[in-house]
Amino acid sequence: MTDESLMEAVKHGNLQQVSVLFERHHKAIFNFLAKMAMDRELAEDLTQNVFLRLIKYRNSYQEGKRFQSWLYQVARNVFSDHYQLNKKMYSKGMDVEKLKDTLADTNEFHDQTEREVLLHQSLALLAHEDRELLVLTRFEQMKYEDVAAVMETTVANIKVKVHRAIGRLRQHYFELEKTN
Amino acid sequence: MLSAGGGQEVRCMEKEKLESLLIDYLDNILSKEAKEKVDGMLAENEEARKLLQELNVIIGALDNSQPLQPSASMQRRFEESLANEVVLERKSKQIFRIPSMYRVAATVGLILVSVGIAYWINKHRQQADELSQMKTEMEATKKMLMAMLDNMQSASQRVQGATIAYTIGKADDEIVNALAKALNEDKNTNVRLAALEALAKFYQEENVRQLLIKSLSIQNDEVVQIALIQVLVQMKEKGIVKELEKITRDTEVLKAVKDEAFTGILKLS
Amino acid sequence: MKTKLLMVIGFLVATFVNGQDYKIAKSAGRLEVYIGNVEIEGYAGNEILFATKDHDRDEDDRARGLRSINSSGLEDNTGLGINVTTKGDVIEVRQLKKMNSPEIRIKVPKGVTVYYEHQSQYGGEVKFRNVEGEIEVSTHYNNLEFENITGPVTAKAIYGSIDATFTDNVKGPVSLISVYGHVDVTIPVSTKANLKLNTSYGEIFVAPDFKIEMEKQGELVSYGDKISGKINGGGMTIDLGANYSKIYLRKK
Repeated sequence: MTDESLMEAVKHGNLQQVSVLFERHHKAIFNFLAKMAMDRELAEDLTQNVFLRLIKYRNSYQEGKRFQSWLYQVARNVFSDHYQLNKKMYSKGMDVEKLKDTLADTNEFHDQTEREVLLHQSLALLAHEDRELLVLTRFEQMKYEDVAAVMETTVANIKVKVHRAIGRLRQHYFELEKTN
Repeated sequence: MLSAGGGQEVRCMEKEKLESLLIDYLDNILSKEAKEKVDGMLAENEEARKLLQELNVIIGALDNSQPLQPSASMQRRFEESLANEVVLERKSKQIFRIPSMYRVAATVGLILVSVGIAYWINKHRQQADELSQMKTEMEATKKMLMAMLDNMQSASQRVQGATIAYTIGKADDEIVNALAKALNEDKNTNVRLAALEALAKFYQEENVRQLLIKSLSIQNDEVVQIALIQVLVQMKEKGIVKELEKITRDTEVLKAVKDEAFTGILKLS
Repeated sequence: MKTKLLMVIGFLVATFVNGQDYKIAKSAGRLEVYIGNVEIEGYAGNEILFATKDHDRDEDDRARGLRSINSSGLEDNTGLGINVTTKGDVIEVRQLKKMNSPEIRIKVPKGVTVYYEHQSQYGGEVKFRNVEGEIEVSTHYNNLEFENITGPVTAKAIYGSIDATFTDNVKGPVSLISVYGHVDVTIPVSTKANLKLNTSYGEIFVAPDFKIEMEKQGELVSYGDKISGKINGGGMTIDLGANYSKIYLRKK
């Protein structure tokens, strides 16, 4: 069964099928949210929310539309709702030093290279539009076409933006490296 | 001055273009000719080489970053919330029978609220607006907590149902009766205690008072008997002294319950 | 002497390998346990495994070739002195002897809900370790020990004590009540919870690291000692009660 036909079944009242969609996509969505929110535990909550929203808004799913694009649109909305509500917390700026504590869990912590820590720190310094583009295209390895579908814009536009984001990330990264 | 500033801007633009080109180069999506062109430029341009090297580090770091693994329990927690959704969906179909417009509206309302509650139960980072949404939809909250109190598969869901009942401001007969049933009949002690706690909050309502008094004579769980005696004594309910005396004479009763009954008699007289 | 010892060891190993174990392929559902001595451990697998804790069950020569059966018609279908019956999603585990329960060790997959009930005074300590599913316990005499569990958990004991340590990721609700025994609980400092600690004649001890935001009490005057409040802004329900003994809340 394709994602699309599963989602159509959900739309027609077969809610249990969300379970299959969860199985297939929760890791990707979790990673997206973890890197956006820079907080693993929070990302788990938000991931749950994303899949529950599929049920809540199932009637707004356009049949024939690519499920993945829709799923990421929902995920972006969940994150941005969370962000709006907790703006104050974020406005202080994320505490870069604390990032490795929140993102790495105990098992992975030892494996985390200095480079990875530096990468996460510089990602945190980016505007979250930039971070989002990099997470989608690089970590989630989505094609520019797919990202353009999620953001409802053109491929050319996405490409320009991604390249600029990489440029800004590069600047932060090497500035941090210098000061470390 | 002007021309110098303009020159810088141009250089800036050029750098951005160059960077973009180098990213495509690293991503290996350039045509053969374009690639060769870049190779040629790199050979003679030191700055471009440095930029390429930096980009290589960045892109390498991005592409080699290990995916994070969600905790093992995440899937299970989701399955639980989903199961709740499915049950609610089925329930809402049974509950609302007649006018279809209302049915649709009510179902949607119920789902909105239940999504809120599922989230709330699962996690504590809940947002104020979801809470207020819950309050405005008392009716649906009620159905939700009744469904939870009715969940025979999970004692913790029933405890949670009773706890939600405790947090609502006003209880109608239906909720009170469901709590009384849990207090007297649930096979799990902890559920009975949570129900007692919720009911005790409404002790000023005459019907709740009567239910609590009645429960004392039929309560068969020792731990709940003790808690119930304490609540009734706190309510200064002198009417229960006879029942307490009966308990102190009952040979079957646990010593701790008897002790509590003696204490109760002492405090009430 | 040496050969004798070796033979004994050899025999023990053989019995261990030959059928001291019993298993059911089930990775979800509800396990209902009604035996006096048991240790239940969560693990990442998809079978429920049963074994005796000690491998020196008395061999009865007279009973060879016969089946052990008890008054309620239960038979030992595991070779471990217990009866295991599967009814749909529910797996029931019962002991055959009324008084002497064999010491059983059960391993459960993460998705299994565990229910434990034991009224008789013939029993020992009951342990739950690393269990990630929901746990429900009702007992009179057994001491209960929960080690490294996640919750949700509801447990009551009349005479037994309750000791519990939780993982970093606690899931509510948690409700642990004993009438005569102590209740000793260890949770991470960062746990967000609505806390209720309740004793009639005992005492309550809480680690100073928990900053409890006390809830305003209702109009009811409370006898005994009752604390209710939020830690870390509130969240899941944690109810601890020990009528005649002490409550300890420790930080992990």
